[in-house]
Amino acid sequence: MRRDVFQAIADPTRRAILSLIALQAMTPNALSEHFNSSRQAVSKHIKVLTECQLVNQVQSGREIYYHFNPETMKEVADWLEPFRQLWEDRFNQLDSVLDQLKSNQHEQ
Amino acid sequence: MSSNRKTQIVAQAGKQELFISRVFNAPPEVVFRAFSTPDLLEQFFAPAGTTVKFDVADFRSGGKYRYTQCDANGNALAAFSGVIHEVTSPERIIQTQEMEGLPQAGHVVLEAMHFERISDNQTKLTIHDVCMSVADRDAIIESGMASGLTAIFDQLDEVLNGI
Repeated sequence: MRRDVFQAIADPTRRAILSLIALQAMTPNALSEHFNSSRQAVSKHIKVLTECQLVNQVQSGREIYYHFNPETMKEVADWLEPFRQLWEDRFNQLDSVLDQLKSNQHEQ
Repeated sequence: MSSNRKTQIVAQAGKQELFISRVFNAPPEVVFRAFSTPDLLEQFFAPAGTTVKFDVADFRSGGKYRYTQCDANGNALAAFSGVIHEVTSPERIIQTQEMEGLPQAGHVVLEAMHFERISDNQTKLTIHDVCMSVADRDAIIESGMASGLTAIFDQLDEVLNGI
């Protein structure tokens, strides 16, 4: 499921859609006005974004509004964290090695 | 496990590359030495709860390296090897890296390490990895979760031994 999120945000149009609706919820018409592509093309992108829970569709009266779902993006940011922590640990160990090398140099 | 967040990772969605960078309080000559001396690499490169041991370490342009990562009991977890394209002290190391024993061979990473002098006692290291596919790049990042698990399993062992 998380892989789908990455495929979803790899596409520049979908990233642009997310940036727009992150600012404010939008109707399909309002959204498609921002793009040169057809309303059908935009709605295909919306379908992908909805399927991986980056977008929620909310009915309000006769209109549908697209809402950005920040929880899913948070998952994307967290995806890097274990890998970053791995290198953080590695580099903290390196700090001790470097301190030792420097003090050896001073003794010589 | 407190994180002081000195290390920066940049991995854009849908790209085959990733960047790891960090500033060290040592001159480039010293940081470079740590990354090109097997005895020193063995002291810091192993993720928590593991050790690494080099059996090939010919750190010069056209050379090669190979190391094995083991758990706390000495069981081999994985081996990594590659050829060294360029060693320019104290500025740059360019090498390949491949994890051995994958179902399919050929998932090679091109890795460039840059050691940039910020001041006489400060160096910025940037590791630039270029993978053969986005899936390979994502798999490397997700391997970070595996090493997190290793540490958890070790703690679990300690708990079980105490029972």
